[in-house]
Amino acid sequence: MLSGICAAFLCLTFFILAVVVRFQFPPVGHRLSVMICIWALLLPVYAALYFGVRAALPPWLGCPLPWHDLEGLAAFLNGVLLYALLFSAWCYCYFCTDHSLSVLYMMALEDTSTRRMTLDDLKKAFPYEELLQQRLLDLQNNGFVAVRDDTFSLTRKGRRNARIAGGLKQFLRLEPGG
Amino acid sequence: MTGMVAAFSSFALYVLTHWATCRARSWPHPSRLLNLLWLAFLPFYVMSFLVLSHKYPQFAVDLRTANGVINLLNGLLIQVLLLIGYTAFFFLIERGLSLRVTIEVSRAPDGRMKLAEIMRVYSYDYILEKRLGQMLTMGFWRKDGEVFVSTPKGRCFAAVNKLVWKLLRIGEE
Repeated sequence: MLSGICAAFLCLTFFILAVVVRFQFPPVGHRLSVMICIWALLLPVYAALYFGVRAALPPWLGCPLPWHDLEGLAAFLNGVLLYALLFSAWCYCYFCTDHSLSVLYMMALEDTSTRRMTLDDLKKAFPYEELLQQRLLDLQNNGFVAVRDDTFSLTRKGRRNARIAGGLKQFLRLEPGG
Repeated sequence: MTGMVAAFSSFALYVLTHWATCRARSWPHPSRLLNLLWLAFLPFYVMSFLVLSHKYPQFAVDLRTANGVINLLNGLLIQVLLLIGYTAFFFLIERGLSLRVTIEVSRAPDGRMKLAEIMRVYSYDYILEKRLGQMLTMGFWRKDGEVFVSTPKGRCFAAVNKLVWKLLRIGEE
């Protein structure tokens, strides 16, 4: 089991390094797709690391080979699961940094000479119209929204997304939110 | 495998309990509820691990060995990672700006909206109130009269994020 855990963390380290290197060479394109692609490409590396770590560990910490019995297979798949969950945790952190308005406001405040801002300063630094236009452009590029004559409507994908998320929001009494 | 199964079963129960709690009443601090409830479910994880280990021979684990302890900790790690994933999902639903916009457009009488209409139904004051309120609650900022000032915690958080922006070239394309 320990070999799967170690291999998953090692693989995540390689993944982060690969993402940092890839993002140094723009244009990157759709960042989430690029990250998913790198994650998937590193799956064979996980397998190699799993067997490497397994061979390096003392026998009392080892586990059977994946094709020997269920315990061995479960230990191997447990590492894959950890690698997938670590990827989702990475995505959460990444998109918090990339998309969060709060993070944007915090960084803007640190950039001012006095490190002080009023509500009006924030509104001037981030005009709502620009901010919303940027988000709508993102939604348009991802196929959720269509624009015709300055009017926004949802695509089929957007309607499905709004229906599911809206239903869940209603169910959990989180409305209006946002 | 015991840790994995115990982690998934206790986490499923945690999610169901969280949903029931959300439906029971509205909570002023959703993140606090998420974390406190998760902590309350940790003993349940340990209990399910022990029950599985003692009642089912295929899940038998000897906690006196290193492998047994690793099995228990592995399940705990899965629990932590599941919580991070669930938190991301929950706040995407609860706070996602883009999602709120799509919901507003979908609820428009003819399913179409102009930018000015979106700005009217989803006001900037509401967005700011929510974000700034959260930053004050979490201690990233403090209020000095009408002015927002960052705390050492907020400065540190902003610096880390700035470093990540630089390292990953966010906002450069």
